[in-house]
Amino acid sequence: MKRLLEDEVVVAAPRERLWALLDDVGALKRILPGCEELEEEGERRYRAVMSTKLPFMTLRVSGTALLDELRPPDHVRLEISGRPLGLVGGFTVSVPIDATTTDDGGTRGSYAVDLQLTGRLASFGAPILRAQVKAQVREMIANLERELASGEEPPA
Amino acid sequence: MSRNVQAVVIGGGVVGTAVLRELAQAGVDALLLEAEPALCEGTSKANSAIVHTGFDAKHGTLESRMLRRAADLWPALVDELGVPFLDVGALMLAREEGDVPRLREMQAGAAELGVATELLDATALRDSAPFVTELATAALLIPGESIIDPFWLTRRLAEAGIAAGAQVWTDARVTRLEVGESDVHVGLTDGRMVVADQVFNCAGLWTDEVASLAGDTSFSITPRRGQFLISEETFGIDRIVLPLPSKMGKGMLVTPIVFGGLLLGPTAEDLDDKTDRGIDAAAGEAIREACAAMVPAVRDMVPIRQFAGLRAVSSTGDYILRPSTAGDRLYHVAGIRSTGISASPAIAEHVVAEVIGVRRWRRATRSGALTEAGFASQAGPVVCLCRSVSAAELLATGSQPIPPATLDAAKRACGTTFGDCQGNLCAVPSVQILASMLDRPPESIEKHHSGSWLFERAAAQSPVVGSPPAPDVGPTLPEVVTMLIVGGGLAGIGAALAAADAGVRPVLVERTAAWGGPIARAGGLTDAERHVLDEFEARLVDGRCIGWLGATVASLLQSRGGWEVSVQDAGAGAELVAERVVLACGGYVEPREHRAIDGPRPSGVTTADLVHSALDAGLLPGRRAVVVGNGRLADGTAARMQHAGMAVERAGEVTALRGEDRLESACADGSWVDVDLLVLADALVPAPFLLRPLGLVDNRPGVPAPTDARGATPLPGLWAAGTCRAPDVDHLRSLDDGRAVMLAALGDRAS
Repeated sequence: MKRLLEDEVVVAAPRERLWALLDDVGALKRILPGCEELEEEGERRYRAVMSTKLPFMTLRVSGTALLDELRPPDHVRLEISGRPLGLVGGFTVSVPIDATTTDDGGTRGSYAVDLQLTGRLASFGAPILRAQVKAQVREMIANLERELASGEEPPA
Repeated sequence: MSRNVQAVVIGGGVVGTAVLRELAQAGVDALLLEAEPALCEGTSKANSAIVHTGFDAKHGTLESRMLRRAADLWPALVDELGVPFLDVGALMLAREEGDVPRLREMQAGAAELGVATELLDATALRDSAPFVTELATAALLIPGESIIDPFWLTRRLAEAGIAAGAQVWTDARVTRLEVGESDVHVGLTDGRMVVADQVFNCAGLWTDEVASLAGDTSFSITPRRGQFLISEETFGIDRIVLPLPSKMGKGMLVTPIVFGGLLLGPTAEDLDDKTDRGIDAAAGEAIREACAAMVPAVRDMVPIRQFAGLRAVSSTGDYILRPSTAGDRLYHVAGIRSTGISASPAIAEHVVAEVIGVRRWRRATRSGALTEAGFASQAGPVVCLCRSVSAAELLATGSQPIPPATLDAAKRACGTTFGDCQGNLCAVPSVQILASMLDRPPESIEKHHSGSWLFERAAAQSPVVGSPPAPDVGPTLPEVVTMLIVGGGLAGIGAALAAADAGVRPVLVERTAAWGGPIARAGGLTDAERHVLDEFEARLVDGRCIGWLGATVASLLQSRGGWEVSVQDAGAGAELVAERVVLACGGYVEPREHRAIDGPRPSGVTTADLVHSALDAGLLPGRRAVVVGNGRLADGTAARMQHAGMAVERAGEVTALRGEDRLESACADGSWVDVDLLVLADALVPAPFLLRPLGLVDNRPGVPAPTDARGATPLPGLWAAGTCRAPDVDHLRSLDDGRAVMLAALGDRAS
């Protein structure tokens, strides 16, 4: 696997609250960018169909999402592997996340993105992939923040 | 037959298609005429693919004005068109005494034009770009400099025009232009006539010739040739690196390619001949040296291609955006030297606004949704190994508003034939798919320009040595494959028999439709090898080996249980897990593009790989050929070609070529011979396709699979045998090596 990037993000919610989202398949589906289908098929293992919009092409991928190395509330690793529909080859993306509490009670997530690509996706080249992964991570954070915000709304 | 339209655009490059889009979206009934069979066949297909900010443009010029306006238009245009575009930024290096004050001058000039820049000192430069030369003492960072895919851009501009109601005619060469008071009569080669209220002359290099059709000789265009090298390996370079300009021009650049790899160049050679896209080894070396002086790592690159583009330099030294002297119903959009991509949105906006004002056309806003080609959910067989392009992906180009009509247009549309082997492994299946998609015979598909024919139909009376068709359905596989062998050439067959003899039932996957590899296809096997091939086929029958023809191992991923393998074939393919994998995938014959062979790049320049694929498909790749090589692959290939009715000469070396569209002659062993086909059969490049994603080799062609003496790669359970680890175009030791590596792999498994 190749490390594509390392970064960190701060979310205005305690770690325990974020961790609870991992038990909620519906929330996970809303947080994972472009997730069309997510079904639990084993312990922390999900069958997924996702859609990814590159600037010049929309990819639909089918594969497996796995939550691994669970050490609540400090560490988790998200791994998604699968194949783009209609294209040759496959991919595995691994995102280890370390969570710490910030001074104001929020969560600082330090994460990396490791990627292994084969076939057509590998031929797209690093510049496009790096830009795409960064965009996906941004979208995931935005989804997460929206999920947290919607959770704060009082029940109707 | 004649047709009346409001506006005709002559020329289907980036400028012509940008004008077409602008016209159509303003509600003007517009028709684009392109002389070649496909769009993007001129300057737009061979350039640096940079979207410049214009930071160094000469103040007060039209070029500078257009570049600055275009910078404002690009973000929305990229969103609208959905084109690959990355703002990577550029570094202009100071490497000599006195350069830093010049960088400051450049920075001040850029500021006056409103372009943001930043001056980096040596430390900041090193931190930001460790790949640049240690001699660089500072750099001007221009963050807005971007890269784009010029093929996608041209195609999507045309598609945006079509979506807004415009039409595009290809193979539509203008031969008559009568500019009148109230309209323009535009005559085409085939006798068709278009009557237009207004004509836009966007014919690039040929704008002066189009003008002269109307009797306007007010300007001339000189072709300036720029030669480039392409490297698949990037050496970590993620930004444009360029020198300070000199009296000779902007100099040579190192530019990331938006889809990966690097572009190096261009040279700047003023020519007389507007068709001379020839390349030469000396220029290649000059590019390498100039770029290595900025980025030392590129000295070690192995280019996969050298090519040349021709820029249109006008006699006025600036863009020519004005009505013709023959009448204002002909409008010139000419002399768009080397900044055509960058300035195209602003040029289109400017000229269309001016003409709409003069013509008093009523503006209407028209647009249509740009469609995105969808793939079939099943990828189908792998067509292009280098770029992993599937049949589904190539077929999807058929639903584009302008389906690719030539092999190079297909390359620009989906990447097939673009990689290391430069189409020698995939041109035949690509042409077959294109032909079926366009409902045309394969021999009617040309490479690029009219006259660049690729194949003829083999005459019925000259039988070709065919191969059995690939099965539609793959074999029944065990749940876990103990031993997977990738490649059914001599090494793979040697390995398979050794496994079967040891009681292990191997699965052997072969990309082509026949066993035995290139030497068997060339009819060059020894008696002993033929006997072994017979023995292998008997093992297939008795079930001690499982064979899968017409299937490609598309990916290998390490997993806990061994190797996850994805196999593509004409059906659904398969996903399987293999405990052990032996790569016996050989390689491809070194193409012209990797060699120092001077001259143009016509069709008919091939390797033995392409020749055998063509003959297998009942196609003749030429009439009179020179075959390069002295070994058994060359012997067998020449014999098979003669058997198919072709005239064949033999040579030890070819150093230069002639012929713009189709090969006309080759300098073979020091003498020019008139041939329409060059067949290289003298050197092998090991196949890197499965090794690169695993990180076992970098992106330079020619690196064999790294193995120890037994054939083990550094990755557990992955072995390599035959010519993919010890390149030999004649495969003399492949059979024995396959056997030996399998025995080692089995021994390793037992232990």
